[in-house]
Amino acid sequence: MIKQFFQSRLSIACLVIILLFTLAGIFAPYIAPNDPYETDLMNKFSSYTREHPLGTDQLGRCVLSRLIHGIRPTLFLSLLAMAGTITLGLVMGILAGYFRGWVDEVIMRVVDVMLSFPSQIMILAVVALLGIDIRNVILANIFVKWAWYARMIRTTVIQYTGKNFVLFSKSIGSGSPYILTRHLLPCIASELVVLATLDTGWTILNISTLSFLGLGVQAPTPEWGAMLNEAKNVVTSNPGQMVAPGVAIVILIAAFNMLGDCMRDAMDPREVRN
Amino acid sequence: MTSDNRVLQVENLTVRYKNRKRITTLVDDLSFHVDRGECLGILGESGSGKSMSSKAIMGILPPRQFDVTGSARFHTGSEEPTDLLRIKKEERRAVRGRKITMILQNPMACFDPLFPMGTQMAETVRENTETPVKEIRGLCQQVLKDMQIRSPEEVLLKYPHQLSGGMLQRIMIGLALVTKPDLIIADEPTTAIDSITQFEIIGELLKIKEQGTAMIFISHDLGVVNRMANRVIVMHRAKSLQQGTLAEIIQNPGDEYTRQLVNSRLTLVDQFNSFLREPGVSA
Amino acid sequence: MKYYIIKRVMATFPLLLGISFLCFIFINLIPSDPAEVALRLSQVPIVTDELLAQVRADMGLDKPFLMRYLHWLGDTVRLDFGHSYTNPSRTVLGELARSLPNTLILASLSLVLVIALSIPIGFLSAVYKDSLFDRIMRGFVFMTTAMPSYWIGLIFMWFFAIKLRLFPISGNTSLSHFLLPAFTVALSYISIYIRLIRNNMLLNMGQDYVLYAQVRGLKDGMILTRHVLKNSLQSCITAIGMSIPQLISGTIVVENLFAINGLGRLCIASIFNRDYPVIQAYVLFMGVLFILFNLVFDIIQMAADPRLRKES
Ligand SMILES: Nc1ncnc2c1ncn2[C@@H]1O[C@H](COP(=O)(O)OP(=O)(O)OP(=O)(O)O)[C@@H](O)[C@H]1O
Ligand SMILES: [Mg+2]
Repeated sequence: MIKQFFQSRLSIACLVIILLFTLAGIFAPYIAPNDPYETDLMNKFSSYTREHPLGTDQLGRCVLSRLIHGIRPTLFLSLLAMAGTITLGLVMGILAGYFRGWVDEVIMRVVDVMLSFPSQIMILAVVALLGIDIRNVILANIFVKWAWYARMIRTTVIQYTGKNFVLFSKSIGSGSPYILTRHLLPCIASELVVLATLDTGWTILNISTLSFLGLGVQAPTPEWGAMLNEAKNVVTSNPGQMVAPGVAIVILIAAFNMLGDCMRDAMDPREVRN
Repeated sequence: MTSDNRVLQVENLTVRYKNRKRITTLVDDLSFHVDRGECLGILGESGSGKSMSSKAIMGILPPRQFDVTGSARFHTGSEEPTDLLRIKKEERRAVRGRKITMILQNPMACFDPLFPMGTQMAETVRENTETPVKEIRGLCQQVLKDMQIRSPEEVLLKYPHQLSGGMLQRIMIGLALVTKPDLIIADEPTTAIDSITQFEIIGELLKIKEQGTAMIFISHDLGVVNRMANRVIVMHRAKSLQQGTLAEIIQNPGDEYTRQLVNSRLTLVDQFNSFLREPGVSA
Repeated sequence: MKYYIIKRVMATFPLLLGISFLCFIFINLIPSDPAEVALRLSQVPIVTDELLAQVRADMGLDKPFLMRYLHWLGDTVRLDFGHSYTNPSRTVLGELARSLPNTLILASLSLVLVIALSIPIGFLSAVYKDSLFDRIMRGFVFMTTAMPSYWIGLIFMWFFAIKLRLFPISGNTSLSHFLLPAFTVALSYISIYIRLIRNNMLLNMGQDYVLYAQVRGLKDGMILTRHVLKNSLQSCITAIGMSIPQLISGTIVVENLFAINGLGRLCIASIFNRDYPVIQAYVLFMGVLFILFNLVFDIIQMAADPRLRKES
C-alpha cells in the first residue's frame, strides 16, 4: 500500500520535473537572467554571484542562462526525434501488419537488417553521410529507432486484426483507416507510451553524446553535451565547469527513465521487476 | 494415544501470503499429529492448501513472501522434540532430506534442467547419507531398480527433460526412501503415474509404512487414501473441516462440504471398484 | 544440433549481404565523385572532363549498379577497402589494423571488469533482495543508466588523474592509460548486466527445482551457486554475447575523451575529414562483428542447454 502510494508519488515527481524543464525551455528568454551568447572576457570562470547564479564559463557567459537555453536543443530535439520515430514506426508497422503479403515481407526484411546493426554505429554512418549538423543527428536517430517500433506495432496489429471486434467492424463495412484509428491505436497506446518514455531518455543521452563529440549542436549554441565538451578543455584548470550541465542531464534522463519504469510497473504488476 | 510414538505434532499452523498490499491466508489454524508407522491422509480440493501446509512444515516457503506461525514439533529418537518452524538453519538441514523427506507434486519441474539425473541423485545421496564416494553410483542405480525403472545406467545419464513425469516421480519417491527417514510427506505421489505402476508404488509405500516410517499422504483420490491412510483430514478453503478415520468420516460427514466430497468420490470409487471386479481387467 | 547450427549459419548470410549492401549504398550516396578523388590521389595537375570520363570507365563507374556492387563485394571480401582520402599513402585496411589493437585492449579490459563485477553484484542483489546492499545497488544501476559516459569519464579524469594523480590523463602508451577509460566504459555497461543477472536469478529462485533442492537437503550456498547461478547465467549467454560488440562500439566516446588512438577515434576523425572509405570500412566491420557475435553466442547458448542440445 505504502509502496504503491510512494510509486505514484514518484511518478508524479518525475512528471513535475519534466514539466518544469519543458516550461523553462519554452520560456527560456524570459527566465534566463542573462543573454546566453553574451561574452565577457574580463569575467570568465567567475564563481556563483547574484548576477550569474551558476557562475560563468571560459568566455564569461552565464552558465545558468546557457543551461536554460540548452533545454531547447536537448529536450525539444529529443522529443522531436521521438515523434518522428513513432510516426515512421507506426506507419510502417501498420502497413506491414494490415496489408501483410509482400508489403509486410519487404518492410520486415528491412527491419531485420536495421535491428541487426548496432545503433550507435548506424547513427554515425548517417551523420557522416549527410554531414555534421544537428538536423542530421535527428534524422539519424529516427532512422535508427523506427524499426523497433515498426516491429512492435506490426505484432500488435496482427494480434488485434484477428480479434472479433475488428472483424465485426470490417463486416459491417467501416473503412480501414477508421478501423485502425478507432480500434487499434487504443490497444497499442499504453505500450507505446511506456516504450517512448524510456526511449526519450535514451535519445537525450544520444543527442547530447553526439553534441559532445562535436557532431551535433555546434559551438556557440548552448546545448548540454556541447557545454560539457567545452568543459572538457578546461578540466585541468576549472573542473567546476562540468558540474551544472552534467547534473542537469542526469536529472532529466533519470526523470524519464523513472517515469517509464513506474508506468511499466503500473501496467504489469509482476513480482520480479528491474 | 501415547505420545512415545509421536513423530510430528502440528499445532495452529497458519500460513499467510504477503503480496504488496494484500495478505491472504492460505492455511488457517491447522492442527494434527502423526505417529510412528501411521499414515495421515490429507484430502481436499485443488487449492485448499494441502501443499502449502506441507511446504510450511518443511520450511521451504520463502519468508519474504510467506508468514508462517504455529508450531510443528518433530520427535526424533529420545531427544527433546524440535519445533520445525523455529529451528536454526543448520539444524533444519540435518532434518530436512534425512529425517523428513518429501515427494513434490509436479515432478517435471522439480529437477534442475542443466544436470543429468545421476549428478542430482548423487548430490542428494552425498549430502544426506554417509555412503562412501565409490558406492554412490551403485546406490543410485539400486534406487532406480527398486523403483522398477529399466536400464538404470542409461537413466542416470539422462537429463530431466528426457524422462517422463512418471519416471521422475518414481525417482523422487526413491530418493525420499533412500535415507530411511522417520517421516515421509508425499504430495500426490501417484498423479503422474499410470494405474499399474501406481499399484506397485502404493505397495512400496505400504511396505515402508509397515517398517514404522510415519507418512503424510496428500491426495484427491479417496480410493488411494483408503488403502494408505489410518486417519484422514479433510481440508477446504485453507481450513481443516474434519479429522478421523476414513470410515468415520464417510459414515458421519460433519458438514456440507465433506458430505459432497464423500458422495461424489464414493460414486467414483464404486464405479472404479465395480469396473475392477469385472473379469479380465484386474491387474 | 548440427542441423540447427547449419541453419543458423545459413540464416546469417542474407543479413551479411544486407549489411554489405547498405554499406555499398552508403559509399554511393556520398557527395563526392570517386573518379575525381582517384585523380586527386594520383596527383594529376589538371582535371579535364575527358580525363574524368576515362577514369570512370577504368574504374567501372559507368557499369550498372549491380555490377558495381558485385565488383565492390569482391574487393571487400578480399579486405581491399581502397585508400584513405585524407592520407592517400595509407590503405584503409592499414588504418583499421593500426587502431584495432587499442580498441580491443580497451574493450576486453572493460568486459573483464564488467563481468568480474556484475556477476557477484547481481548474485548478491538477488540473494539478499531488498536488503541495504540490494537497494544501494539498485540505486547505483539506476544512476549509471542516467549518466552519460562522457560525463562519467570527465569526472573520473578530474578525480583520479588530475586530483589524485593516480593515472595518466590521456593517451595510450601504457596499460595504466587504459584503466580509467576501461572503468568508464564498464560503468556505463555494468548496469545492464547487473539487472540481467539479478532478474534471472530471481526468476530462477522461484522455480520448483529450487524448492525440491531444499527438500533434498542441499546447502543453500550450493543450491544458489551450483544450480540457480548456473541456470541464470545460462539464460544470459546470448544477451551477454550481443552486448560485446555494443561495448566495442561504446568505446567511441571514451576513446575520444581520453585520446586513445582506437577505432572509435579513427571513425570520428574520419567523419570530420570526410574520409568516406574509412567510415564505410568501420561501419561494415562493426556490422559484421555484430552478426558474428550474435551467431556464435546463439550457438554457445544452445550447446550449453541440454534441452536444446539433444533435440533435432
Ligand atoms: N507461490 C505461491 N504464491 C502465492 N500463492 C500461492 C502460491 N502457491 C500456491 N498459492 C495459493 O495457495 C493456495 C493453496 O495452494 P496449494 O498448492 O496448497 O493447493 P493444494 O491443496 O495443494 O491444491 P492441489 O490439489 O491442486 O495441489 C491456492 O489458493 C494457491 O492459489
Ligand atoms: Mg498441491
